[in-house]
Amino acid sequence: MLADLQDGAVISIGSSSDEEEEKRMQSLCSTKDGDGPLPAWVLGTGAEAGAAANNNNISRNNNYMLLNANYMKSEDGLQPLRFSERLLKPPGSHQTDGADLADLMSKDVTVELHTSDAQKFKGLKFVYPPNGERAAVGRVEVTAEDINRIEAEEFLNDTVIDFYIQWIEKHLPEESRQRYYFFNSFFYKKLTEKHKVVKKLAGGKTVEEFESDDDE
Amino acid sequence: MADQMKQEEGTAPAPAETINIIVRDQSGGEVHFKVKPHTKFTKVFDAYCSKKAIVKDSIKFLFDGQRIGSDQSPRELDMSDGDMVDAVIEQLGGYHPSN
Repeated sequence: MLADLQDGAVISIGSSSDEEEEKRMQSLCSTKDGDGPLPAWVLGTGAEAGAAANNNNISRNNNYMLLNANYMKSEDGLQPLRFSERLLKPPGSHQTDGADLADLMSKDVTVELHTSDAQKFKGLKFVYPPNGERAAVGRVEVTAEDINRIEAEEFLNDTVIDFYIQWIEKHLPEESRQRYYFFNSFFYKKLTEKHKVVKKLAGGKTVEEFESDDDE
Repeated sequence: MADQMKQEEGTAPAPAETINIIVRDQSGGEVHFKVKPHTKFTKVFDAYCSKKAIVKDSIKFLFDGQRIGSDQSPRELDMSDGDMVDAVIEQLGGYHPSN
């Protein structure tokens, strides 16, 4: 991932500029557990259009973020939050009209955020993996400012990348997940800094400890 | 939310013991913090950033290579005395289709 970044390659996080892609993202968000929205965020960015070279016309409003709202919090943790209904556009029939934070935290609600909403969510943080894994190691905190990073022609940052890496990891089938180790975006830099800590960074595992495909 | 916060504060024992946490930046500079095990990291981050006069959003903190959440505490991360936290600069990059 990081190497890609440095080479100036395109990081694809899905794009709403393509109708099919939009549908795919929507289905991603509504298929798991039947009608319940996916307990995850989906980031969308027009930056991907670089891969589809014919698509240089990206509307600035095309970018979206689908967020699991069950772990939102304000910076000071106490500020009461109320989102206008129009910010809450869950896929499917999930009803969130007039939802306040208590409602949002009690159920998994998928929120569609547009980059223009960054201002409204100022001071808010979104944590992934969400609620219930509070002490999860290496979880990502996405701030409202990070929403701007998926704006067309903006650069992505480590938070967005790491969020998506974790999102991928969480959505792999269990048997596939065993075969991969997911580093965060800081790993490469650390790796090139000093070698001693690398084993620690990989959760104490060495390469040999990962089951090799050749054995099967 | 408010209730949750209160609960956390109420149930957290208040041990007198503190642990030393070393925040190290990428050039090797170290800042030492004495913190209680249940102190949320947001305090440490704020203190570090104001000491270094840097914008909080531009720095990410890692423990054993993993991100630290600002509302996590040293206890939650099983930190012990003298543990090292890395302060790394935000990574920003990508590709402009127009270029």
